[in-house]
Amino acid sequence: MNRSVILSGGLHLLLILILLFSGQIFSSDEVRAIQIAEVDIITGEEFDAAQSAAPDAPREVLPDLTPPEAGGSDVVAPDAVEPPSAQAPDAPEAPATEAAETAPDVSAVRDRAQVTAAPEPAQPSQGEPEGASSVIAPVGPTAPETARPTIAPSLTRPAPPRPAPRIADTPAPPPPTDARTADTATPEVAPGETAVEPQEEKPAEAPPEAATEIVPEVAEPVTEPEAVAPLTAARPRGRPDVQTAEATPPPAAPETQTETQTAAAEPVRAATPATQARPAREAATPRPARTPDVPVGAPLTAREKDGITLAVKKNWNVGPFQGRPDFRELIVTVRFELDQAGNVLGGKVEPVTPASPSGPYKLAYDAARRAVLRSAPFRMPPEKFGRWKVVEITFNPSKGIGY
Amino acid sequence: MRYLFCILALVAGAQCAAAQEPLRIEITDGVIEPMPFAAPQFVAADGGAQEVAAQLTKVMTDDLVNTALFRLIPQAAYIGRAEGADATPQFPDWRAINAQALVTGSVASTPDGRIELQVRLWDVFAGGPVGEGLRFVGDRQSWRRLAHKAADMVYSRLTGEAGYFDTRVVFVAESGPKGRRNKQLAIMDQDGAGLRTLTQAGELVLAPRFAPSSQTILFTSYRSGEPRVYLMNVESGAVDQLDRLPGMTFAPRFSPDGRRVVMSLSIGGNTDVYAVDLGSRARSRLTDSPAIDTAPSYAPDGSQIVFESDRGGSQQLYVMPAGGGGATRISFGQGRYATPVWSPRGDLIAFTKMQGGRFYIGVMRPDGSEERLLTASFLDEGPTWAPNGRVLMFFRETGGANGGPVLMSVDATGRNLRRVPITLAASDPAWSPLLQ
Repeated sequence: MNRSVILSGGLHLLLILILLFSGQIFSSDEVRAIQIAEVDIITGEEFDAAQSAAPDAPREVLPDLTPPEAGGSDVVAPDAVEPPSAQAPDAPEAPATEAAETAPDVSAVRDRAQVTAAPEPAQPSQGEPEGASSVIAPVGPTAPETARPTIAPSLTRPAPPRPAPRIADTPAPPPPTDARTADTATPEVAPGETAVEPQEEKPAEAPPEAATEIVPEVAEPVTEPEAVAPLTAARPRGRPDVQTAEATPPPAAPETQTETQTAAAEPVRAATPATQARPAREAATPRPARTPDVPVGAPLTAREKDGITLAVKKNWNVGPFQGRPDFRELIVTVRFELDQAGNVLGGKVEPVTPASPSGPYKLAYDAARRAVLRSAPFRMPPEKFGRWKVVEITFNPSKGIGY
Repeated sequence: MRYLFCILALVAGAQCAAAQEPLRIEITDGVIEPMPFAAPQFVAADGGAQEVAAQLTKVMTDDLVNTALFRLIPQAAYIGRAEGADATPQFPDWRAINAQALVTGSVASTPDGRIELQVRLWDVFAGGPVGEGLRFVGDRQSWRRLAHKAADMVYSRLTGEAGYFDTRVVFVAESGPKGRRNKQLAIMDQDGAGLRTLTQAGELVLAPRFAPSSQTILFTSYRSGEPRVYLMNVESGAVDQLDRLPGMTFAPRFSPDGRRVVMSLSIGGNTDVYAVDLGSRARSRLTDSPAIDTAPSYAPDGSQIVFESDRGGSQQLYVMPAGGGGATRISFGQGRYATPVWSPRGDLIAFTKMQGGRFYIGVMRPDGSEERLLTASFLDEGPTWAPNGRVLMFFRETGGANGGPVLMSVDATGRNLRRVPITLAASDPAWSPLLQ
């Protein structure tokens, strides 16, 4: 029995010793756990402040980041920009870059967010939003989890470049003194010296070199300009053809001269056979273009029609035959054609109804024709030329003036 | 895809159609203004015609300008050179001064001492002549008639109506104090020139009327002590009493064919309208009423007669057949109506209207519609038509002790009221037909 008691006692003692010296029961881990619990020391005010400041900071910044250009506070911006680039991990990319260029109000908001939401501002941890969430994590569900991934990438980007200051730090260099010397030095410079200097500079100019090549090409179109001029008018219709513009060499660089001369010479040669018989004077005068593809444009507005109506009615003098008893029956219709300048082509105003006016209708037709010819040229929109190229006017005194 | 192609084709077709379709405009309102015309002084072919050429030009242009239908561009503004009637003018020169019509002419003396005037009218904007040129030859003393005829040519070709410049006006010239006026028959050109008296002073005459196609006038005279109707040949001065009926005859007018005279005959205090055949001097009674029927005037076709009557209680206008019979009242406006005169064109009847103490000259349609008053004054009375039916002449008397009658003219439209330029006091005008 004693032996068993001794044996049992020895074993228990051994076990106790093992436990005492192995540290299994009273290990240091428990002490560490107590230290972790110190996180709970954060007060409710701090928690509320962290909870309210952390998510709100980017929300306030985001809409305010739109101003594109910096104002007068650009000089201050660098100080305000760097902290948000390192700490405000929730700002998106584009707004963040703009925010760096914007007003001081934005930077102030970022500063407040920095204080509340980022206790460790030193490291710009890229791609690690946990650095911020480690503090906010105890807040738990109040912090929106979905907002973090959207905001975090913005902070991973480098800070935007500093906006260039508007005012240079160093004053501009003074203007070259060469511009002022002319006023003062004239009496002292000898005429012989001044005469020599410009002569030395002339050889440096380019035109003399090109002149030898251009002269023969310029001379050719000048010799026969008038017969050729009309066909150079593959130009917009209605614009008078100016021959002198092509015949006289422009005072431009020699290379461009050669191009224009050759370009003008080609249509001239091609069109010469067709226009040889045309008198030079006739060819030189501006003539209305009669091309089948006249611009039609949109329908004429009432106001545009009034351009003709008001002009003609102002010149339709019914006084000479207004006293006739059949005055109101003298309704005539005339037709005429206009060019793009609004002139009556050939001065021809043809009767339509009646086709061959006679007697009192001849008087009414004469009055109508005078009214049209006196009213020309008509001011009409050229882009709608096809709409008013041919005009038919009915002069109807039965509805207007009478006794 | 197919539909899209069709739509594009339709749009393109519409565009092409729009380009070819004329722009159609209707104009219903014009202006009434004098037509500007140019008339360089007629070219004198010889020294003898130099002076009369300038006078002819002035009389012709005055005739045209007095109508208010034409406006003479001053000679100082002319760019073109004065040329004869045969030379084609440089139209751009005349267009530049906004002349719409151009009158050119030349004057020459004929071997027998007369004057020859050649005139041509040009349409400046059309760039050609208006009709054929005309040639007039007349005595040197009657050079004014040449100018009037040239003006008639221009007027008729530009208005489409017959001219009225080569006409005369017979009227009653008055002189003396207002209570004892001395009245004589007088005649003048329509522009007031060539005035001369036809009767002696001291003879009371009234209401002269021209025959429609001759230089014969009817008038009422008190030379026998009571009013009687007489005939006078203006050229010879011969006077003949129309009838020798009992009673008083007055207010005569010729029929359109000149064969009859319609007038008033007052017997026993009753005045009726009678017609007298100038050939047989036979008379026929056209009205038979106890009222006063007077101032008859034939329609130009001779089928009807308009006259004034108070048979309805007030002085109004009535129309009856030329042979007499039932009369129809045509005036229904306020006031009284008198002295109706049928227009030579037949479209209007001119009258004198009295209302509210004022007198008016007006016109209305033969059925009494479209009455329009052309003038108004203290006393406007006695309208007479120009032979073309476009212009009216009447006399206007001003009030007061020194007031006197003057001759006035007005367009049938109511425009161009102007005084006939004579210095005499005048009343009862009657316009002649165009001189032969």
